Amino acid sequence: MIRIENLSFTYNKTPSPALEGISLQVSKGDFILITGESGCGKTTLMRAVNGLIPHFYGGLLTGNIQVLGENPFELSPRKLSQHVGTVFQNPENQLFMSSVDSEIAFGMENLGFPKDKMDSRIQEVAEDLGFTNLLSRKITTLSGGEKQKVALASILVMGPEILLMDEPTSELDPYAAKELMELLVSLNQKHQKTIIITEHRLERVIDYIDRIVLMKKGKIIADSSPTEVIYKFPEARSFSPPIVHFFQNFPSQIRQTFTPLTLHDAISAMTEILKIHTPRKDFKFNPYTPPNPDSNPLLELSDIWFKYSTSSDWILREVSLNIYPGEFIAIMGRNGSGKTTLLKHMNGLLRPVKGKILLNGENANSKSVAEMARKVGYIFQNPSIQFYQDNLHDEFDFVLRNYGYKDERTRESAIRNCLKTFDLTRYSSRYGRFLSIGEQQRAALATVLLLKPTLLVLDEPTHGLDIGQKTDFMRFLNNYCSNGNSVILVTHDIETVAKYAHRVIILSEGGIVDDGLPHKILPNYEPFIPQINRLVKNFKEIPDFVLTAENLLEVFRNETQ
Amino acid sequence: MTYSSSPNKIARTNALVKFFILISYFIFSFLFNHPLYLIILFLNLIILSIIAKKFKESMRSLRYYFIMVFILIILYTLLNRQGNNIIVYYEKVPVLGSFIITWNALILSFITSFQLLIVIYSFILFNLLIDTDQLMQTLIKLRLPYIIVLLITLSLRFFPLLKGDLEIISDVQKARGFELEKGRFFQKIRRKMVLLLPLLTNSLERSIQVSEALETRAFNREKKRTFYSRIRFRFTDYLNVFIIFGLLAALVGLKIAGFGIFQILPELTIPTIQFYDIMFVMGILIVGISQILLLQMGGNQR
Repeated sequence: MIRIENLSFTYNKTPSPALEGISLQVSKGDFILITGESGCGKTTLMRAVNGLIPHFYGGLLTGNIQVLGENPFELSPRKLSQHVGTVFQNPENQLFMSSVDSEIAFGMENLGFPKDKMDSRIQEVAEDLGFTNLLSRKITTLSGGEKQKVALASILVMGPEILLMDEPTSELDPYAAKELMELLVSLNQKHQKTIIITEHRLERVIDYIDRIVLMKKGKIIADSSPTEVIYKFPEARSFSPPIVHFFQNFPSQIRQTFTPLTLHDAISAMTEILKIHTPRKDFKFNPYTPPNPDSNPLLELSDIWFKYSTSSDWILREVSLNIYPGEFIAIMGRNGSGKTTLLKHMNGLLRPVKGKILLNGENANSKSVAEMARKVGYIFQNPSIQFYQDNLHDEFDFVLRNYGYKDERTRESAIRNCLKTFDLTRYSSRYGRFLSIGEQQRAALATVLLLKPTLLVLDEPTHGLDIGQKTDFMRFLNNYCSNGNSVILVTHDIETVAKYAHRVIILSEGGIVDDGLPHKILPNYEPFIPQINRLVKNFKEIPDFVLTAENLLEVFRNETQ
Repeated sequence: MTYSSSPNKIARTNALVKFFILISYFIFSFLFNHPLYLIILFLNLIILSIIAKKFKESMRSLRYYFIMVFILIILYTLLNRQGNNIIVYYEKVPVLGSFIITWNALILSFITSFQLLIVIYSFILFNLLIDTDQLMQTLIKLRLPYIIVLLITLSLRFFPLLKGDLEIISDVQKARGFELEKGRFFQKIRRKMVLLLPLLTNSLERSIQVSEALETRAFNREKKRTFYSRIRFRFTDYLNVFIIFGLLAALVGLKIAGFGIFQILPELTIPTIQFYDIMFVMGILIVGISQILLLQMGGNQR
């Protein structure tokens, strides 16, 4: 289906190649994951396959590529589109019409399909993807997951044999991500579609793929079955899902016997392990000790109700919540459950229709956002949107000037220190949006922490970060928290929550449905159960509150040493 | 204010006919200045909104109109010095020289506001009753080149996203201590200008992604494209178009014959209502209602 030989590509005005000596063969019916650190060339490789390179993105290109016998260098993407379908990361930017059926028909109209064929193809694909009920809906009324399904359907109706999907689950909550992956598997198995996806979060896709292409700095460093890549290539270790991490680090030689990737295989492997090893009976989990409810909260939300206009529905209902110094809190819930709306109340970007917010015991409703921002730092979901000054230095300077730091020397000294702390000094004169996503997130955090707020509020901070960037970022937040500050984040990243959060709040339809310690909350909510907990739930010998690979290794450590 | 799917048939019927009806009301509003004629024209639009179940929504959108009209009446009355029917006159006023308010200017400002109400209300109904897909089909039917049609519909489709981006950018700046609402009117405007650059950068990034997506959806691949949705004309639709143009011709005729006009300048007269005026406006009302009923019987979009 696809044959790539020694392909190299350097974008215009960039010093180093984005792809270097890539050779790859893809056969009919393959379900391939391309993964690697941010900026390793995953998206560029996709662009070479669908012809966006060189027709849309110019640069220096060498090597050969054949897609279904055609050369994408010679055929434009629009000519290739009937063979190679591409679904992009953000569904919002690939939907052009206002109703679902018109949207799905758009590509077929461009290809000149007759009306009756369009009708039957739309019906067929909608049935395959299980959303015939959405056909008459307006695009604006769809959820993120539904929009991604429509984007997929609008590509599938054009009949491509190859489907490229660039981080298709990145905008989706765990429910929607699982649903989408199951759809892709059925397309792959039922219709023999060749599917290539890129994704950072291996735990979301590992159960479904049959081959991994691992990239690093524009090169393919591994290309084999998932088991082979994950267990044999040290570079893949950092991408390993928690189950793999556990078996890779199991403290006995038995680890060489088992190489499970999926939950199903892990259950079989664990059954064997338990025949030889006994988990520690005295294992005690040391969860974070919740603060005394009588102590003074940093932020107090009492009976908060919010809606955008008098005629709209309530977005937040009866939310009451205290945040204490030193707490690391994760807010979870489905898309549209009111998580971001709740966060925006914490720094005054939104004001409650009913209810009271106290910051350090003072009424926050009377404070401006700027006043609140001195105490409550807010990091937005998309870090790039936070930069608009000419360079990073000026971004910091802008914040300090907003807060009345008139003395240039004081400002310069604060900026220098902050750049150094966040390892950003070398990017001081760089435009913020030109940094990698991990560096952007770090820079966004640095600009907020310039003012030394005591509460940090983050909306999906790990979105788009690769595993290494995520670990660095979360370690920083952890340190910040251990100094008596508080962190509250909204995320769909279950494993991050299991690893770092002290407290989890589950939000549904604008109300808090649960609030407590992660090991008590997460195992009870199906979409939020961490991978390791899904495994241990099958074994009564292992405490059912274990959430992470590190916890589980601890359960076996003394016994096996 | 955007189109929302509605169980009512008018939202789904022939968009080209709806387009012609609303455009015709736009034109009618400039033909007459007699309050009775304007009231009847507005009443027809109200009936249309009630039957289309968009009355409440349309009234909500009108709230901005009242702010605009308030400013318009004040400025128009104060600045328009035409007319002989004086309310207030000061011969020597510092800076201005003299100051005059006339009944003529005041009445003219009210009449212009009423005409503006019909224009704005037909535009509101246009937005509520014609979605971007329908607009696309309408413009194609009017033989506009497809690329221009797509450009227009994409602008409408992405406008709410742009608005969302602006809100986020504004939130980001507020969260970084930048007080957008601080200062006097012009200072506020100057402060808000800083939002434009990130908005532009964002829009450029979005436009790149949109173009990529269009490329991979075979946009402009074939010289001749087909259409999934087409405006389907029934007999009632043809009849309705005939009535629209008939009504337009009749009302232009009335205007030329001097009906529906009352004199405001230079001498203000009292608008009279003659028997023929009542006959004419009743005619406009009946024709308007029949247009709405015919619209309901018209063909669907597909």
